Amino acid sequence: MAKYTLSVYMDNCPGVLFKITNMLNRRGFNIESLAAGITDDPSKSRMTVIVSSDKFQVDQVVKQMNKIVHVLDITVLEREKMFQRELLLVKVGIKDFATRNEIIELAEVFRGRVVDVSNTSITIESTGDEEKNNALIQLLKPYGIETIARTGVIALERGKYNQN
Amino acid sequence: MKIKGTKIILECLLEQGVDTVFGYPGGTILNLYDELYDYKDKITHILTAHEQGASHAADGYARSTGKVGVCFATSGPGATNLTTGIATAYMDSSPVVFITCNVVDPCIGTDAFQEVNITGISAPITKNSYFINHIDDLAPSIREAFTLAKSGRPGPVLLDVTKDVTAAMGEFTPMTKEEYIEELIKTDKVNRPVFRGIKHAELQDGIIDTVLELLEESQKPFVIAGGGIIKAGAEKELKEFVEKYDTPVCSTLMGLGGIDAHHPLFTGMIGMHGTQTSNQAVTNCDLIIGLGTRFNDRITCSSSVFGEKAKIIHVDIDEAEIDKNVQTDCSVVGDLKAVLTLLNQKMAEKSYCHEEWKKTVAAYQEKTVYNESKYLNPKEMIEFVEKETNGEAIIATDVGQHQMWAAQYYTYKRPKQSITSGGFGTMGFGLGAAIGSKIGNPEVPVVHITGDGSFRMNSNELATVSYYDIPIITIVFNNTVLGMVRQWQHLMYQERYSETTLDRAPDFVKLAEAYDIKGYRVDTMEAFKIAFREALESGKPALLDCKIDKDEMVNPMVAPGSNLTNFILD
Repeated sequence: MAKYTLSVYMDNCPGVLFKITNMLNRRGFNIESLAAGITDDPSKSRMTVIVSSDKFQVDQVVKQMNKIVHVLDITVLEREKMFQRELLLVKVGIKDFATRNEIIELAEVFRGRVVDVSNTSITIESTGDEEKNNALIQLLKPYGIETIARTGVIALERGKYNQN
Repeated sequence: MKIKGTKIILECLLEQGVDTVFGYPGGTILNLYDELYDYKDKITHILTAHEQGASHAADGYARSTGKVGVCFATSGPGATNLTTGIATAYMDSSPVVFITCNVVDPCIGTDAFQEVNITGISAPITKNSYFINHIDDLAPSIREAFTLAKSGRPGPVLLDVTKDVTAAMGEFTPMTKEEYIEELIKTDKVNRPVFRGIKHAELQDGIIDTVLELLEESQKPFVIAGGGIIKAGAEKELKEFVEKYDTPVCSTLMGLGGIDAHHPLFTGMIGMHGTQTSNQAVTNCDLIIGLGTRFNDRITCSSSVFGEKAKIIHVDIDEAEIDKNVQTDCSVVGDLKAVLTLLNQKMAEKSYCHEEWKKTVAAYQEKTVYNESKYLNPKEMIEFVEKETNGEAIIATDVGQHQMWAAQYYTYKRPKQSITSGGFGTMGFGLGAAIGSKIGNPEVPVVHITGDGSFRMNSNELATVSYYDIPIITIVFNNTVLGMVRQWQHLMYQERYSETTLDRAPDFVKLAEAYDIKGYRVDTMEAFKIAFREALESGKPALLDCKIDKDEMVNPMVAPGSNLTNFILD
């Protein structure tokens, strides 16, 4: 099993996300992450899908997705030719002043930012690939994580490789 | 020009050449039916007994004519009653446009009376489902729906229109089917993967040469002709190809009629109930040429051992079918008619001869022995039907033993002659499909072959047959059991006949009579002959309730999941 990153360029209209997820579910494809957002053309959006599978299955995902009316183009992004980002928001409980500083230091190591502080908790924002965010979460766990929200991975091809 | 939503719908249907609609009215679709009242002379509406019957009728109409079938239903239960019909059409790539109306837009999502999200429900069983809650989207969506249903790999499309849109006034510019396609080709939309079929897709460079090389190499080739041959209208090209290449050819259930079954190169159906010849040939050949087939599990029985000794060439219009069920050595994605035409051109100069292999294939003898039956013999019955109809009849079936007998014993000579639910296996499909077939082909005799189990499911459509006086002959193969399931119980479940005995009402002859249809009780072959002849000559609907032994089997049979030559019944 490997992870494949699919970049899907599609209509930005009601029901599109449903049709895609419905197909993925119906065909029994295993999805690790899915994130979609509008593009420079407001009538189109781009979705990044991470499929944990083998090459054969990924080909099937692409072919089946191609049959959805709203899909304009699908690219399977190769690892070395793309970069991925994910935004993580993590709220950690704080017991005392010392632990709060420790958490802030940890966040700085990860180039994270403190976005909210209160007497009882601190919220860190971190951007990076999935692995980096996973590592940060592991380190924060002993302090007592209260809530996590992740955007899911988005990806683009590097400079000279142009999509569409 | 501003016109009402309902008028837009019907004008769009006329643009697409629609003259027949199957359906059932209800609350939310009232506006459309009101408009239909003024279109009586242009659009014939067939009112069925149940929306499911309408869905199968539209499907049968599409399969037997090659045109797009159209079906109307109201919201809620009207819409959900269509779903089996939509799925049936989807699995067999039948182009049907379903139009449902939903509650008014402000009520959407409020669980209003008879509200259901049919676009969601139908999403996995349609090529696309459109939810239309704005008048401006109406005409473009209908035109796109028809184009989509017919293009590429055909299939059903659903349009769900809110009731307020059907009443709204909208701008309408008439546009013929051809004009719409021309417009579509000018837009970016045509470049979408789903619309690739509209423009003549260019084949991958050199792919035909690879096919030719494989054809050249093979000593023992074998062609599997699937339903795609019929959908593509490639029967002439197929005949030319197999004759030129001098290769035996079999057919899938859906491909029956794609090649004239009398053709000397034809080896019969392949698969679980395929002929010994076809199954032996596909197992022992060195090249399988799959044309418009999806190598379904009823064809391969076991995809892991299927074609072990052979290379596989696969031609299909749907890229997603390539390498889905079997791994191919060479694949061509494209319209079968175009691909075969090109191939035939390139082969014109060459000569092929597979005399030895053809002899080998011819030597694969059919072993099936027909036991004397206590009652009627299905083979004799179907052969008699063929003889009496000069082999011209359209045979619409339900699902089960009778379906396989109809596939095995009727010699289909042209496409669109066998109307059967192959992929979805829908019991209750037959009568609706027969109605649609007869409406679409008034000059051709239509025989509905069914079993007592299947017929009981949707026999309500006898009301439609009777009212419109549609001369369909229904032959009920009545063995008082759910025959095919019982056959499996006999072979694989130690004869534990759990819930497959159907010795119960109604009396089908009395049922037919209740619908004012002539019913015949048939216990002997002699009685069958008399009844069938009389029914055929009468030009009226008829039902023949025919007694079949409950232990009658479909031979041959290959166990699911095993090698195609591993017959558990021969």
